[in-house]
Amino acid sequence: MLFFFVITAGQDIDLDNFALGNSTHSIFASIKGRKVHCRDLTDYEECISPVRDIARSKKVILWLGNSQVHAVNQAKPGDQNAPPLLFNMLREQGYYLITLSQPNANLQEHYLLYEFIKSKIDVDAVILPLVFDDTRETGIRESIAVALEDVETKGQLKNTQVGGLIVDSVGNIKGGDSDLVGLDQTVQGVVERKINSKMDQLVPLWEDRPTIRGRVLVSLYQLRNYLFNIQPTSTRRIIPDRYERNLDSYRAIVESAEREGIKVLSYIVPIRDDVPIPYVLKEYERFKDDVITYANSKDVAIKRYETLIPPELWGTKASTSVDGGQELDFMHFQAPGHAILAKQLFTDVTEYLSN
Amino acid sequence: MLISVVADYLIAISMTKTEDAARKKILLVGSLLINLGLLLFFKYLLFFAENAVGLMGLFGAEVKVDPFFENIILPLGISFYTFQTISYTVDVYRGLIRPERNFILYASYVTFFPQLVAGPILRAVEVIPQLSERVAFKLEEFTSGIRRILYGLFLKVVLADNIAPLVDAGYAMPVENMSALDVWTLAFLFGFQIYFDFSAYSHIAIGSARLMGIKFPENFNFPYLATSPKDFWRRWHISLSSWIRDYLYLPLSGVKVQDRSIGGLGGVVEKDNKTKSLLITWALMGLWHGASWTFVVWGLYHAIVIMLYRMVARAGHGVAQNIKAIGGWMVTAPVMMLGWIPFRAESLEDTLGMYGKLFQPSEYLWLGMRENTYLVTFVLTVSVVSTYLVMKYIVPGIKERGYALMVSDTAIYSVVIGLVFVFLRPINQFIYFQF
Repeated sequence: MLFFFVITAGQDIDLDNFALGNSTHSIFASIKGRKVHCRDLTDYEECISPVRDIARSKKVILWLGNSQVHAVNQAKPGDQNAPPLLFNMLREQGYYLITLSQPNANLQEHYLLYEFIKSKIDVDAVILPLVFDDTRETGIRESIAVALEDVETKGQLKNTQVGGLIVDSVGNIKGGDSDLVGLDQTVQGVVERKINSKMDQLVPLWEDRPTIRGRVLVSLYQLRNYLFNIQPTSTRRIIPDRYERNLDSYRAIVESAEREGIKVLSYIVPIRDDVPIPYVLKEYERFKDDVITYANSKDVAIKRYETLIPPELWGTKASTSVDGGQELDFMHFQAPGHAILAKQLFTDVTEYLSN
Repeated sequence: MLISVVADYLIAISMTKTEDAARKKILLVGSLLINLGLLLFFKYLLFFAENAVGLMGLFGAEVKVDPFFENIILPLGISFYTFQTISYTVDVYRGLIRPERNFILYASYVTFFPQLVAGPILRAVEVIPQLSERVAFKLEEFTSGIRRILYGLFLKVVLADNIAPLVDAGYAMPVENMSALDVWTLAFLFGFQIYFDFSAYSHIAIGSARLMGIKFPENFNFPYLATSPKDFWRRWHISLSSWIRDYLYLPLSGVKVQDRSIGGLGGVVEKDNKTKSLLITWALMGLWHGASWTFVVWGLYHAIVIMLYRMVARAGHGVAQNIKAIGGWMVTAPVMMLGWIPFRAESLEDTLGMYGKLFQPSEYLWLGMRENTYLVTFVLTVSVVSTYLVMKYIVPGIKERGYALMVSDTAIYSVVIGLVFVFLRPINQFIYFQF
């Protein structure tokens, strides 16, 4: 019992946004009752339905991003992040902006989302942040992997090598594991569902197990950070296989867009530069070189926003270690920083699209 | 399974009804043909068909594997119960046991559910007497069984299934994106995954049987603390290695099996054909694990390791036992872990590519995986060694103090139950289910 108390007591942790820390808030804005900024396939329909209903005459711009797009450091009531600001600016120019962002989103997920959204509505342009940090990520989260249930999306992905790898890596979405698919209609499958359902009713903690599991893993994560002194300033290396796969996904998006006459504006994301950045500099430069060289070989706009946000607009966040306290936030800036980003993107997007 | 059970039941009884050695041999051969024939059909026919097609392709023939072969469904546990029934008829043939005339009892021995799917591979002499005895319920046995089941669940749902994603991600990488240290790490990591996964099943099987008062032999004994390859195979999948020794290796080596051997492939055979029998045995043992050349390579790897060990074993005379043990462990553990590469790799090309990395100094200068992977591997290595040391040097002392034992047991099993409760979810199947 003591074990469960320790595990379940204490503050609730939003596991999806744990790395943001307490002083950084996620904002998914609505304007006049319509969502303009969504997370993933759990809510994308709210963002794209206005396009079908009222915005048919407008050109659609799709902005895919990570938590830098939705998170506001040191957020205060009334603060806005970049998507609604950019939405309003672009609307006046005849564009309709849809934004989807997820924490630690990688380019493979962007590729899958891009093909999925494109199959639902006509997209005229894509805004794609290029985050060096997220080239270390791989895998497709469940809330995006369900896009593979769409036959057209799956077919588009299978046309590319990296898309085929993504499809294979996801496996069976509904079963979660190909080994378990065949159990669905068997006695075992039926009995297990009945037992689970009964346990949900009888034992309050049974339903909460995923959350408890998350807390255990978060605790281990914090302990790891503490024991090995891993901080936001700790240097992160390239993971070659994941880097290649993410860059291949970027290329796949660009080439797919090129075939359909969709414009792509990509930008190297802002990062705070008042302290040494947590990357191997040579690798970071190589990344920038790779994406710029590629973009320049295609009809893709690429912008460098590394130093766009001034140091004073970056902040701190709650420590991800057991010792508490605050630590530097390299990824998320304050509301005025979002205003700067929105304004810069507005300038660059309208210039690019008018050419 | 029904065919195996009925055929061997009848064959075993028929063997004892004749004094004619030739007729006995014919009956034994019949049993082997039936059992191995079924195994061949269900497990290896597609493998042979694919290889035949591949071979014909080399000569320009454009043939495909008939869909019939691809639609053959592998019966669950066939590799295990086939070996079980073979051991029964061979033991009857050798005169080591008398045939069981009660069909229900014999069938119960073969089909006994706790070990049916993935072992331990039981000898008739170990189980049939217990089944016929019908032991009375004992609370002590029941609680002991529950403990083993919980321990097995902990190994499977908390450890093995959480290691699996790291292993899968690592082995999914193209070999060119792996460094030598990644190869070492993945070897160790999969070594731990398969150990926790497979030993978990064994613990659950042993515990389940114990609930009913049936005692199964142990199947694992801290194999990664082995001090030599010989020691390793006395600690890993003990029921299989002792089966292989008694029913394949010793007969191939021309050694008459006098009595039931225990402990697996331990002895050195003083016969001229020991190398040949070693290679054949291990190639077949590899193939038993899976219808793929990577498993054959796995088997041959261990055969070569044993041959090398035999060459150097004598050189250790005169060295202090402690030093020999520690030195032996420091060599054996990594060698055995490296043996898992062909077992898990997707193809022969990947296997050779991964081994090739180990001999390139420049491949030791970078890392290709997420830092957590190395950290988890290191923690697991330290934990396994620490657990062994605790079991060996501290637990006996605690067991002498009843109160201390009660407190430690309560604490440990509370954590185990809690973690099993939290981590129990739709899981990967047990690795050895596919065999």
